[in-house]
Amino acid sequence: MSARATGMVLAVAVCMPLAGCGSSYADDGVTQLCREAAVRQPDSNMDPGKDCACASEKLQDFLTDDHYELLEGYSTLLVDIAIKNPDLRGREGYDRTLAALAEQRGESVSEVSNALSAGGPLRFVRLAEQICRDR
Amino acid sequence: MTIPKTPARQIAAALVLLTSLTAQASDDLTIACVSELADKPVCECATNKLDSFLGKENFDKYQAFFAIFTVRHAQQIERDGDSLSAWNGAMSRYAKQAGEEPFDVMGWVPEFESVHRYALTACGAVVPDEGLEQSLLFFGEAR
Repeated sequence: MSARATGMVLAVAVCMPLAGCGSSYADDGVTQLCREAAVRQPDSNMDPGKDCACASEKLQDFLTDDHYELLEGYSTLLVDIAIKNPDLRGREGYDRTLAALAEQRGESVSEVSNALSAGGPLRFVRLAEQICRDR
Repeated sequence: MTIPKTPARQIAAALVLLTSLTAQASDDLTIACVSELADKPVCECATNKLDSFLGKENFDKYQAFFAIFTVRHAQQIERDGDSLSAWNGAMSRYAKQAGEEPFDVMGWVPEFESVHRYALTACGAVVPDEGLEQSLLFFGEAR
């Protein structure tokens, strides 16, 4: 699992026992996941409102439609699973998200995992967020 | 970026790449891409995508690195076909010129290069698999 994916899962999972987590968002899954991670990593200097919207838009423009759809599916499920399972930590959360995404798409876990990392989407999420934060 | 196979193509590539340095900075990537892929629409598409994603400052940085790499790449190929040394040498040279820490340059250059590869693929280019290309650098191509 990539360091970025670990970070994202940890960022969301760590919050769960704390009060105030799990609020609902109207934005798409990618924005939603970015916002959750930004709130739980105050040292990242991300502005959840502006920077996450910027990152999602950047990714939507840059990635192919298929890849963005995959990334959104992954992001939405990850947040949903983290909210509903406050005791989940680290790798288990990521594995459960991959399994749910694979089932949703009718694909194997390895196919989904490869598409998320080797195919591009997950690899560019952190960069997009960083570019938006630093602009 | 694929390595030209024949000496004539290598020299031609070197000349195009060296000539490209006199062009406006915004054309460096596209010109170098066209010299390798011979597909201007794809190369222009990829450069535009890259520019949009990275933003001006990061795009300019990558252009500046790429300009150094393409010259060094042509020289290394002329001399001994060593693309990996050209890449490493270019990162080192860029770091000195830009006043950046070499370790930092080694961080963002491969990352931007991955973005560049994705942009090329998304625009319709057939880009060699990174793992395969790295293996070929060490083991050589099949005879």
